[in-house]
Amino acid sequence: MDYIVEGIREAIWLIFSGDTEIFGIIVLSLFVSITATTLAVLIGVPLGFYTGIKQFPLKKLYGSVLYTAMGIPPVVIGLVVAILLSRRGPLGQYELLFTPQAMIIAQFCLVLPIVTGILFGTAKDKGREVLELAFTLGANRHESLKLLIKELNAAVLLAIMTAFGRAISEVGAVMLVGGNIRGSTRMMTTYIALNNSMGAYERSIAMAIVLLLISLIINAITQHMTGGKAYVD
Amino acid sequence: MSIECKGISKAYKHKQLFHNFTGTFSPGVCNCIVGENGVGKTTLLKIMSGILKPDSGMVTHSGMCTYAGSSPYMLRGTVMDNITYPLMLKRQQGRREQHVVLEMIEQLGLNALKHQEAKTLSAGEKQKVALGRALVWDPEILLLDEPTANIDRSMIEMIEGYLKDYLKQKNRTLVVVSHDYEQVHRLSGVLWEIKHHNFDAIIEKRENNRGLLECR
Ligand SMILES: Nc1ncnc2c1ncn2[C@@H]1O[C@H](COP(=O)(O)OP(=O)(O)OP(=O)(O)O)[C@@H](O)[C@H]1O
Ligand SMILES: [Mg+2]
Repeated sequence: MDYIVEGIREAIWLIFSGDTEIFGIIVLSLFVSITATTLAVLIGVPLGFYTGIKQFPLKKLYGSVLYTAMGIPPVVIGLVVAILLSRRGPLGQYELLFTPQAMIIAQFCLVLPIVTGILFGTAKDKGREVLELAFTLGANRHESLKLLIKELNAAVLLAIMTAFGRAISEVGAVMLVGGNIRGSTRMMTTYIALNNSMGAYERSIAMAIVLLLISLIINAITQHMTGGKAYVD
Repeated sequence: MSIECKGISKAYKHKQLFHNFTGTFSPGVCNCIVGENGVGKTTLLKIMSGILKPDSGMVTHSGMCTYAGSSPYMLRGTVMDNITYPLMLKRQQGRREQHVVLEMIEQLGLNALKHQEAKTLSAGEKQKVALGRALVWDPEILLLDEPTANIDRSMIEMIEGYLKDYLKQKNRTLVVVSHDYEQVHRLSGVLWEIKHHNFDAIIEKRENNRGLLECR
Protein backbone atom coordinates (compact mmCIF):
# COMPACT_ATOMS: atom_id res chain seq x y z
CA MET A 1 0.00 0.00 0.00
CA ASP A 2 2.90 2.34 0.67
CA TYR A 3 3.71 2.89 -2.94
CA ILE A 4 0.23 4.36 -3.50
CA VAL A 5 0.57 6.96 -0.74
CA GLU A 6 4.12 7.63 -1.84
CA GLY A 7 2.90 7.93 -5.43
CA ILE A 8 0.27 10.48 -4.53
CA ARG A 9 2.73 12.54 -2.47
CA GLU A 10 5.25 12.59 -5.28
CA ALA A 11 2.54 13.31 -7.79
CA ILE A 12 1.47 16.43 -5.94
CA TRP A 13 5.06 17.52 -5.70
CA LEU A 14 5.50 16.95 -9.44
CA ILE A 15 2.49 19.09 -10.28
CA PHE A 16 3.56 21.99 -8.12
CA SER A 17 7.22 21.80 -9.05
CA GLY A 18 6.28 22.90 -12.55
CA ASP A 19 7.74 19.93 -14.37
CA THR A 20 8.17 21.15 -17.96
CA GLU A 21 7.44 17.79 -19.52
CA ILE A 22 4.15 17.42 -17.66
CA PHE A 23 3.25 21.01 -18.40
CA GLY A 24 3.98 20.59 -22.13
CA ILE A 25 1.87 17.47 -22.29
CA ILE A 26 -1.07 19.19 -20.62
CA VAL A 27 -0.88 22.09 -23.08
CA LEU A 28 -0.66 19.76 -26.07
CA SER A 29 -3.58 17.65 -24.85
CA LEU A 30 -5.75 20.69 -24.27
CA PHE A 31 -4.79 22.13 -27.65
CA VAL A 32 -5.57 18.94 -29.56
CA SER A 33 -8.87 18.25 -27.77
CA ILE A 34 -10.08 21.85 -27.87
CA THR A 35 -9.30 22.12 -31.58
CA ALA A 36 -10.99 18.80 -32.39
CA THR A 37 -14.03 19.71 -30.30
CA THR A 38 -14.29 23.16 -31.82
CA LEU A 39 -14.21 21.79 -35.36
CA ALA A 40 -16.75 19.12 -34.47
CA VAL A 41 -19.03 21.71 -32.88
CA LEU A 42 -18.81 24.03 -35.88
CA ILE A 43 -19.96 21.23 -38.16
CA GLY A 44 -21.98 19.03 -35.83
CA VAL A 45 -24.20 21.69 -34.27
CA PRO A 46 -25.73 22.99 -37.51
CA LEU A 47 -25.79 19.49 -38.99
CA GLY A 48 -27.56 18.03 -35.95
CA PHE A 49 -30.05 20.89 -35.81
CA TYR A 50 -30.80 20.73 -39.50
CA THR A 51 -31.18 16.98 -39.81
CA GLY A 52 -33.19 16.86 -36.58
CA ILE A 53 -35.79 19.34 -37.75
CA LYS A 54 -35.96 18.46 -41.41
CA GLN A 55 -38.21 15.64 -42.58
CA PHE A 56 -36.47 13.48 -45.14
CA PRO A 57 -36.65 9.90 -46.35
CA LEU A 58 -34.60 7.40 -44.34
CA LYS A 59 -34.42 9.78 -41.38
CA LYS A 60 -34.92 6.85 -39.01
CA LEU A 61 -32.02 4.98 -40.57
CA TYR A 62 -29.89 8.12 -40.43
CA GLY A 63 -30.73 8.39 -36.72
CA SER A 64 -29.75 4.79 -36.05
CA VAL A 65 -26.48 5.17 -37.91
CA LEU A 66 -25.74 8.35 -36.01
CA TYR A 67 -26.48 6.82 -32.61
CA THR A 68 -24.35 3.81 -33.48
CA ALA A 69 -21.53 6.08 -34.58
CA MET A 70 -21.65 7.77 -31.17
CA GLY A 71 -20.51 4.55 -29.62
CA ILE A 72 -17.71 3.49 -31.96
CA PRO A 73 -14.68 2.54 -29.86
CA PRO A 74 -11.92 5.15 -30.12
CA VAL A 75 -9.38 2.48 -31.03
CA VAL A 76 -11.36 1.60 -34.13
CA ILE A 77 -11.52 5.23 -35.18
CA GLY A 78 -7.81 5.54 -34.49
CA LEU A 79 -7.12 2.51 -36.62
CA VAL A 80 -9.17 3.78 -39.55
CA VAL A 81 -7.56 7.22 -39.39
CA ALA A 82 -4.11 5.65 -39.09
CA ILE A 83 -4.72 3.52 -42.17
CA LEU A 84 -5.95 6.51 -44.15
CA LEU A 85 -2.98 8.63 -43.11
CA SER A 86 -0.30 5.98 -43.42
CA ARG A 87 2.32 6.45 -46.09
CA ARG A 88 0.60 4.05 -48.47
CA GLY A 89 -2.89 5.23 -47.55
CA PRO A 90 -5.09 7.55 -49.64
CA LEU A 91 -4.02 10.56 -47.56
CA GLY A 92 -0.43 9.42 -47.15
CA GLN A 93 1.00 12.21 -49.28
CA TYR A 94 0.32 14.75 -46.53
CA GLU A 95 2.57 12.86 -44.11
CA LEU A 96 0.34 13.50 -41.15
CA LEU A 97 0.69 10.23 -39.27
CA PHE A 98 2.33 10.65 -35.86
CA THR A 99 1.69 14.39 -35.77
CA PRO A 100 -0.63 16.44 -33.53
CA GLN A 101 -2.74 17.11 -36.64
CA ALA A 102 -3.41 13.39 -36.97
CA MET A 103 -4.59 13.31 -33.37
CA ILE A 104 -6.88 16.26 -34.03
CA ILE A 105 -8.34 14.43 -37.02
CA ALA A 106 -8.89 11.25 -35.03
CA GLN A 107 -10.52 13.07 -32.09
CA PHE A 108 -12.61 15.09 -34.51
CA CYS A 109 -13.93 11.86 -36.07
CA LEU A 110 -14.59 10.54 -32.59
CA VAL A 111 -16.62 13.48 -31.31
CA LEU A 112 -18.40 14.64 -34.46
CA PRO A 113 -21.07 11.92 -34.17
CA ILE A 114 -21.45 12.76 -30.48
CA VAL A 115 -22.11 16.43 -31.10
CA THR A 116 -24.34 15.75 -34.09
CA GLY A 117 -26.22 12.97 -32.31
CA ILE A 118 -26.99 14.97 -29.18
CA LEU A 119 -28.32 17.89 -31.22
CA PHE A 120 -30.15 15.64 -33.64
CA GLY A 121 -31.99 13.99 -30.76
CA THR A 122 -32.92 17.25 -29.08
CA ALA A 123 -33.86 19.05 -32.28
CA LYS A 124 -35.99 16.11 -33.39
CA ASP A 125 -37.98 16.08 -30.17
CA LYS A 126 -38.05 19.70 -29.14
CA GLY A 127 -37.04 21.61 -32.24
CA ARG A 128 -40.32 21.18 -34.07
CA GLU A 129 -42.27 22.45 -31.10
CA VAL A 130 -40.11 25.53 -30.83
CA LEU A 131 -40.28 26.26 -34.55
CA GLU A 132 -44.04 25.77 -34.61
CA LEU A 133 -44.44 28.17 -31.71
CA ALA A 134 -42.18 30.74 -33.34
CA PHE A 135 -44.19 30.40 -36.52
CA THR A 136 -47.55 30.82 -34.81
CA LEU A 137 -46.33 33.90 -33.00
CA GLY A 138 -45.27 35.47 -36.25
CA ALA A 139 -41.51 35.12 -36.10
CA ASN A 140 -39.60 35.31 -39.36
CA ARG A 141 -36.96 32.76 -40.38
CA HIS A 142 -34.13 34.54 -38.71
CA GLU A 143 -36.05 35.04 -35.48
CA SER A 144 -37.19 31.42 -35.45
CA LEU A 145 -33.61 30.24 -35.74
CA LYS A 146 -32.53 32.57 -32.98
CA LEU A 147 -35.26 31.27 -30.72
CA LEU A 148 -34.35 27.69 -31.54
CA ILE A 149 -30.74 28.22 -30.56
CA LYS A 150 -31.79 30.01 -27.39
CA GLU A 151 -34.21 27.27 -26.39
CA LEU A 152 -31.78 24.46 -27.14
CA ASN A 153 -28.57 26.06 -25.94
CA ALA A 154 -28.46 23.72 -22.96
CA ALA A 155 -28.17 20.86 -25.44
CA VAL A 156 -25.41 22.67 -27.32
CA LEU A 157 -23.51 23.12 -24.08
CA LEU A 158 -24.07 19.50 -23.15
CA ALA A 159 -22.79 18.44 -26.56
CA ILE A 160 -19.67 20.59 -26.27
CA MET A 161 -18.84 19.35 -22.79
CA THR A 162 -19.54 15.71 -23.58
CA ALA A 163 -17.44 15.92 -26.72
CA PHE A 164 -14.53 17.60 -24.98
CA GLY A 165 -14.73 15.21 -22.05
CA ARG A 166 -14.63 12.27 -24.42
CA ALA A 167 -11.77 13.71 -26.46
CA ILE A 168 -9.49 14.62 -23.57
CA SER A 169 -9.91 11.30 -21.79
CA GLU A 170 -9.53 9.01 -24.78
CA VAL A 171 -6.38 6.84 -25.15
CA GLY A 172 -6.73 4.43 -28.04
CA ALA A 173 -7.12 6.76 -31.00
CA VAL A 174 -4.32 9.17 -30.07
CA MET A 175 -2.05 6.25 -29.26
CA LEU A 176 -2.53 4.78 -32.73
CA VAL A 177 -2.36 7.92 -34.84
CA GLY A 178 -0.01 9.93 -32.62
CA GLY A 179 2.34 7.19 -31.55
CA ASN A 180 2.96 8.64 -28.07
CA ILE A 181 6.17 10.28 -29.22
CA ARG A 182 7.92 12.12 -26.44
CA GLY A 183 7.86 15.87 -26.93
CA SER A 184 5.62 15.78 -29.96
CA THR A 185 2.57 13.57 -29.65
CA ARG A 186 2.57 12.46 -26.03
CA MET A 187 -0.82 13.20 -24.50
CA MET A 188 -2.02 13.05 -20.91
CA THR A 189 -3.71 9.70 -21.38
CA THR A 190 -0.87 8.05 -23.29
CA TYR A 191 1.55 9.43 -20.72
CA ILE A 192 -0.46 7.77 -17.96
CA ALA A 193 -0.54 4.49 -19.85
CA LEU A 194 3.18 4.57 -20.56
CA ASN A 195 4.30 5.48 -17.05
CA ASN A 196 1.96 2.97 -15.56
CA SER A 197 3.39 0.18 -17.68
CA MET A 198 6.90 1.27 -16.69
CA GLY A 199 5.97 1.27 -13.04
CA ALA A 200 6.41 5.03 -12.62
CA TYR A 201 3.26 5.31 -10.60
CA GLU A 202 3.91 8.77 -9.20
CA ARG A 203 4.01 10.18 -12.73
CA SER A 204 0.86 8.42 -13.86
CA ILE A 205 -0.93 9.42 -10.67
CA ALA A 206 0.18 13.03 -11.10
CA MET A 207 -1.24 13.15 -14.59
CA ALA A 208 -4.40 11.35 -13.51
CA ILE A 209 -4.94 14.03 -10.88
CA VAL A 210 -4.56 16.74 -13.51
CA LEU A 211 -7.00 14.94 -15.82
CA LEU A 212 -9.47 14.59 -12.98
CA LEU A 213 -9.12 18.29 -12.14
CA ILE A 214 -9.81 19.22 -15.75
CA SER A 215 -12.97 17.09 -15.73
CA LEU A 216 -14.09 18.72 -12.50
CA ILE A 217 -13.49 22.18 -13.90
CA ILE A 218 -15.46 21.36 -17.06
CA ASN A 219 -18.28 20.06 -14.94
CA ALA A 220 -18.26 23.13 -12.74
CA ILE A 221 -18.39 25.41 -15.75
CA THR A 222 -21.28 23.48 -17.21
CA GLN A 223 -23.15 23.52 -13.93
CA HIS A 224 -22.56 27.22 -13.55
CA MET A 225 -23.68 28.05 -17.09
CA THR A 226 -26.85 26.02 -16.86
CA GLY A 227 -27.61 27.46 -13.46
CA GLY A 228 -27.24 24.07 -11.82
CA LYS A 229 -30.28 22.80 -13.65
CA ALA A 230 -30.59 19.65 -15.69
CA TYR A 231 -28.68 19.90 -18.94
CA VAL A 232 -31.62 19.41 -21.21
CA ASP A 233 -35.00 20.32 -19.86
CA MET B 1 -60.03 39.19 -42.51
CA SER B 2 -61.44 35.74 -42.83
CA ILE B 3 -59.92 32.35 -43.17
CA GLU B 4 -60.84 30.16 -46.05
CA CYS B 5 -60.24 26.47 -46.69
CA LYS B 6 -60.40 25.34 -50.28
CA GLY B 7 -60.62 21.63 -50.97
CA ILE B 8 -58.53 20.55 -47.99
CA SER B 9 -57.68 16.85 -47.75
CA LYS B 10 -55.59 15.21 -45.10
CA ALA B 11 -54.78 11.60 -44.39
CA TYR B 12 -52.39 9.90 -42.02
CA LYS B 13 -50.90 6.54 -42.82
CA HIS B 14 -53.89 4.43 -41.93
CA LYS B 15 -56.47 7.07 -41.55
CA GLN B 16 -58.27 9.42 -43.89
CA LEU B 17 -59.29 12.49 -41.94
CA PHE B 18 -61.09 14.85 -44.25
CA HIS B 19 -61.51 14.94 -47.91
CA ASN B 20 -61.99 18.01 -50.00
CA PHE B 21 -63.24 20.28 -47.25
CA THR B 22 -64.20 23.75 -48.30
CA GLY B 23 -65.45 26.42 -45.97
CA THR B 24 -65.10 30.02 -44.95
CA PHE B 25 -64.67 31.03 -41.35
CA SER B 26 -66.00 34.54 -41.15
CA PRO B 27 -64.99 37.37 -38.88
CA GLY B 28 -67.11 38.84 -36.15
CA VAL B 29 -68.67 35.56 -35.01
CA CYS B 30 -67.29 32.77 -32.92
CA ASN B 31 -66.60 29.72 -35.07
CA CYS B 32 -66.79 26.68 -32.83
CA ILE B 33 -65.48 23.31 -33.98
CA VAL B 34 -66.83 20.24 -32.21
CA GLY B 35 -66.41 16.53 -32.73
CA GLU B 36 -65.33 13.31 -31.09
CA ASN B 37 -61.77 12.56 -30.01
CA GLY B 38 -59.51 11.79 -32.89
CA VAL B 39 -61.83 13.08 -35.55
CA GLY B 40 -59.30 15.66 -36.67
CA LYS B 41 -60.12 18.96 -34.97
CA THR B 42 -56.58 19.72 -33.91
CA THR B 43 -55.30 18.64 -37.30
CA LEU B 44 -57.72 20.96 -39.06
CA LEU B 45 -56.75 23.87 -36.85
CA LYS B 46 -53.07 23.25 -37.42
CA ILE B 47 -53.62 23.10 -41.14
CA MET B 48 -55.52 26.37 -40.97
CA SER B 49 -52.68 27.98 -39.04
CA GLY B 50 -50.10 26.76 -41.53
CA ILE B 51 -48.22 24.56 -39.08
CA LEU B 52 -49.29 21.45 -40.97
CA LYS B 53 -49.47 21.08 -44.69
CA PRO B 54 -52.63 19.57 -46.15
CA ASP B 55 -52.22 16.74 -48.64
CA SER B 56 -54.07 18.86 -51.13
CA GLY B 57 -56.06 22.05 -51.19
CA MET B 58 -55.13 25.37 -49.72
CA VAL B 59 -55.84 27.79 -46.95
CA THR B 60 -55.96 31.49 -47.47
CA HIS B 61 -55.97 33.99 -44.69
CA SER B 62 -55.94 37.69 -44.79
CA GLY B 63 -54.09 39.09 -41.83
CA MET B 64 -51.90 37.68 -39.12
CA CYS B 65 -52.90 34.37 -37.66
CA THR B 66 -51.99 32.61 -34.48
CA TYR B 67 -52.65 29.20 -32.99
CA ALA B 68 -52.66 28.15 -29.36
CA GLY B 69 -53.00 24.52 -28.34
CA SER B 70 -54.02 22.90 -25.09
CA SER B 71 -50.58 21.61 -24.11
CA PRO B 72 -48.50 24.58 -25.15
CA TYR B 73 -44.72 24.80 -25.26
CA MET B 74 -43.31 27.20 -22.70
CA LEU B 75 -40.26 29.19 -23.69
CA ARG B 76 -37.37 29.30 -21.27
CA GLY B 77 -37.66 32.19 -18.90
CA THR B 78 -40.43 33.66 -16.83
CA VAL B 79 -44.13 34.03 -17.50
CA MET B 80 -43.38 37.65 -18.30
CA ASP B 81 -40.70 36.67 -20.86
CA ASN B 82 -43.13 34.31 -22.54
CA ILE B 83 -45.88 36.86 -22.93
CA THR B 84 -43.47 39.59 -24.01
CA TYR B 85 -41.86 37.43 -26.71
CA PRO B 86 -44.33 38.06 -29.57
CA LEU B 87 -44.02 41.81 -29.05
CA MET B 88 -40.27 41.70 -29.54
CA LEU B 89 -40.52 40.31 -33.04
CA LYS B 90 -39.79 42.40 -36.08
CA ARG B 91 -43.35 41.99 -37.23
CA GLN B 92 -44.39 44.14 -34.31
CA GLN B 93 -41.73 46.69 -35.21
CA GLY B 94 -40.26 46.39 -31.78
CA ARG B 95 -43.27 47.57 -29.87
CA ARG B 96 -42.30 46.52 -26.41
CA GLU B 97 -45.17 47.95 -24.54
CA GLN B 98 -44.69 46.79 -21.02
CA HIS B 99 -48.11 47.96 -19.92
CA VAL B 100 -49.87 45.76 -22.52
CA VAL B 101 -48.04 42.74 -21.17
CA LEU B 102 -48.71 43.67 -17.57
CA GLU B 103 -52.39 44.25 -18.29
CA MET B 104 -52.62 40.86 -19.95
CA ILE B 105 -50.96 39.18 -16.99
CA GLU B 106 -53.29 40.97 -14.60
CA GLN B 107 -56.39 39.96 -16.54
CA LEU B 108 -55.37 36.34 -16.73
CA GLY B 109 -54.79 36.30 -12.99
CA LEU B 110 -51.12 35.49 -13.41
CA ASN B 111 -49.85 38.42 -11.39
CA ALA B 112 -48.43 36.37 -8.57
CA LEU B 113 -46.67 34.11 -11.05
CA LYS B 114 -45.20 36.63 -13.44
CA HIS B 115 -41.61 36.05 -12.35
CA GLN B 116 -41.95 32.30 -12.11
CA GLU B 117 -40.11 30.03 -14.55
CA ALA B 118 -42.79 29.23 -17.16
CA LYS B 119 -41.74 25.61 -17.52
CA THR B 120 -42.64 24.97 -13.88
CA LEU B 121 -46.24 26.12 -14.19
CA SER B 122 -49.27 23.85 -13.83
CA ALA B 123 -51.17 22.76 -16.93
CA GLY B 124 -53.89 25.36 -16.48
CA GLU B 125 -51.38 28.12 -15.79
CA LYS B 126 -49.43 27.19 -18.90
CA GLN B 127 -52.60 27.39 -20.91
CA LYS B 128 -53.28 30.86 -19.57
CA VAL B 129 -49.77 31.92 -20.55
CA ALA B 130 -50.31 30.49 -24.04
CA LEU B 131 -53.54 32.42 -24.30
CA GLY B 132 -51.86 35.60 -23.16
CA ARG B 133 -49.02 35.04 -25.59
CA ALA B 134 -51.51 34.61 -28.43
CA LEU B 135 -53.72 37.55 -27.50
CA VAL B 136 -51.11 40.11 -26.52
CA TRP B 137 -50.09 41.02 -30.03
CA ASP B 138 -53.70 41.18 -31.20
CA PRO B 139 -53.54 39.07 -34.37
CA GLU B 140 -56.46 39.27 -36.79
CA ILE B 141 -57.12 35.55 -36.73
CA LEU B 142 -57.13 33.53 -33.54
CA LEU B 143 -57.24 29.73 -33.64
CA LEU B 144 -57.69 28.20 -30.20
CA ASP B 145 -57.60 24.48 -29.52
CA GLU B 146 -59.55 23.70 -26.35
CA PRO B 147 -58.51 26.98 -24.76
CA THR B 148 -60.23 26.29 -21.47
CA ALA B 149 -59.55 22.56 -21.15
CA ASN B 150 -57.53 22.91 -17.92
CA ILE B 151 -58.90 26.19 -16.69
CA ASP B 152 -61.01 26.61 -13.56
CA ARG B 153 -64.58 27.80 -13.74
CA SER B 154 -64.20 31.36 -12.61
CA MET B 155 -61.45 31.88 -15.14
CA ILE B 156 -63.41 30.31 -17.98
CA GLU B 157 -66.02 33.00 -17.67
CA MET B 158 -63.37 35.68 -17.81
CA ILE B 159 -61.72 34.13 -20.85
CA GLU B 160 -64.98 33.76 -22.69
CA GLY B 161 -65.66 37.42 -21.96
CA TYR B 162 -62.25 38.23 -23.34
CA LEU B 163 -62.96 36.29 -26.52
CA LYS B 164 -66.26 38.07 -26.98
CA ASP B 165 -64.51 41.42 -26.58
CA TYR B 166 -61.92 40.32 -29.09
CA LEU B 167 -64.67 39.65 -31.61
CA LYS B 168 -66.22 43.06 -31.05
CA GLN B 169 -63.18 44.64 -32.63
CA LYS B 170 -63.35 45.17 -36.34
CA ASN B 171 -62.23 42.32 -38.57
CA ARG B 172 -61.32 39.68 -36.06
CA THR B 173 -61.79 36.00 -36.82
CA LEU B 174 -62.00 33.49 -34.01
CA VAL B 175 -62.05 29.71 -34.33
CA VAL B 176 -62.38 27.67 -31.14
CA VAL B 177 -62.27 23.90 -30.71
CA SER B 178 -64.25 22.82 -27.68
CA HIS B 179 -65.68 19.71 -26.11
CA ASP B 180 -67.85 21.75 -23.81
CA TYR B 181 -71.26 22.12 -25.38
CA GLU B 182 -72.30 24.61 -22.73
CA GLN B 183 -69.39 26.74 -23.73
CA VAL B 184 -70.20 26.39 -27.40
CA HIS B 185 -73.68 27.48 -26.54
CA ARG B 186 -72.47 30.49 -24.57
CA LEU B 187 -70.09 31.61 -27.29
CA SER B 188 -72.73 30.93 -29.94
CA GLY B 189 -72.01 31.93 -33.50
CA VAL B 190 -71.29 29.35 -36.16
CA LEU B 191 -70.89 25.70 -35.31
CA TRP B 192 -68.75 23.31 -37.30
CA GLU B 193 -69.23 19.70 -36.43
CA ILE B 194 -66.75 17.11 -37.65
CA LYS B 195 -68.24 13.63 -37.82
CA HIS B 196 -66.95 10.23 -38.75
CA HIS B 197 -68.47 9.17 -42.02
CA ASN B 198 -67.49 5.84 -43.43
CA PHE B 199 -63.73 6.17 -43.47
CA ASP B 200 -63.89 9.86 -43.96
CA ALA B 201 -64.91 12.73 -41.79
CA ILE B 202 -67.52 15.15 -42.93
CA ILE B 203 -67.66 18.67 -41.71
CA GLU B 204 -71.07 20.19 -41.22
CA LYS B 205 -71.71 23.83 -40.73
CA ARG B 206 -74.68 25.12 -38.76
CA GLU B 207 -75.44 28.76 -38.38
CA ASN B 208 -77.49 28.22 -35.29
CA ASN B 209 -76.06 25.91 -32.69
CA ARG B 210 -79.23 25.84 -30.63
CA GLY B 211 -80.59 23.07 -32.80
CA LEU B 212 -77.63 20.90 -32.00
CA LEU B 213 -77.91 21.34 -28.29
CA GLU B 214 -81.54 20.40 -28.34
CA CYS B 215 -81.16 17.20 -30.28
CA ARG B 216 -78.53 15.97 -27.87
N1 LIG C 1 -48.55 12.63 -36.82
C1 LIG C 1 -49.56 11.75 -36.88
N2 LIG C 1 -49.36 10.53 -37.43
C2 LIG C 1 -50.36 9.63 -37.51
N3 LIG C 1 -51.61 9.85 -37.07
C3 LIG C 1 -51.87 11.06 -36.52
C4 LIG C 1 -50.86 12.07 -36.40
N4 LIG C 1 -51.41 13.14 -35.82
C5 LIG C 1 -52.69 12.82 -35.59
N5 LIG C 1 -52.99 11.58 -36.00
C6 LIG C 1 -54.29 10.90 -35.93
O1 LIG C 1 -55.22 11.71 -36.59
C7 LIG C 1 -56.45 11.71 -35.90
C8 LIG C 1 -56.90 13.13 -35.62
O2 LIG C 1 -56.07 13.71 -34.64
P1 LIG C 1 -56.43 15.11 -33.99
O3 LIG C 1 -55.39 15.44 -33.00
O4 LIG C 1 -56.68 16.09 -35.06
O5 LIG C 1 -57.81 14.77 -33.24
P2 LIG C 1 -58.75 15.73 -32.41
O6 LIG C 1 -60.03 15.79 -33.14
O7 LIG C 1 -58.08 17.00 -32.11
O8 LIG C 1 -58.94 14.88 -31.08
P3 LIG C 1 -59.10 15.37 -29.56
O9 LIG C 1 -60.53 15.68 -29.36
O10 LIG C 1 -58.70 14.18 -28.76
O11 LIG C 1 -58.19 16.53 -29.36
C9 LIG C 1 -56.23 10.87 -34.65
O12 LIG C 1 -56.80 9.61 -34.87
C10 LIG C 1 -54.75 10.76 -34.52
O13 LIG C 1 -54.40 9.52 -33.98
MG1 LIG D 1 -57.30 17.90 -30.35
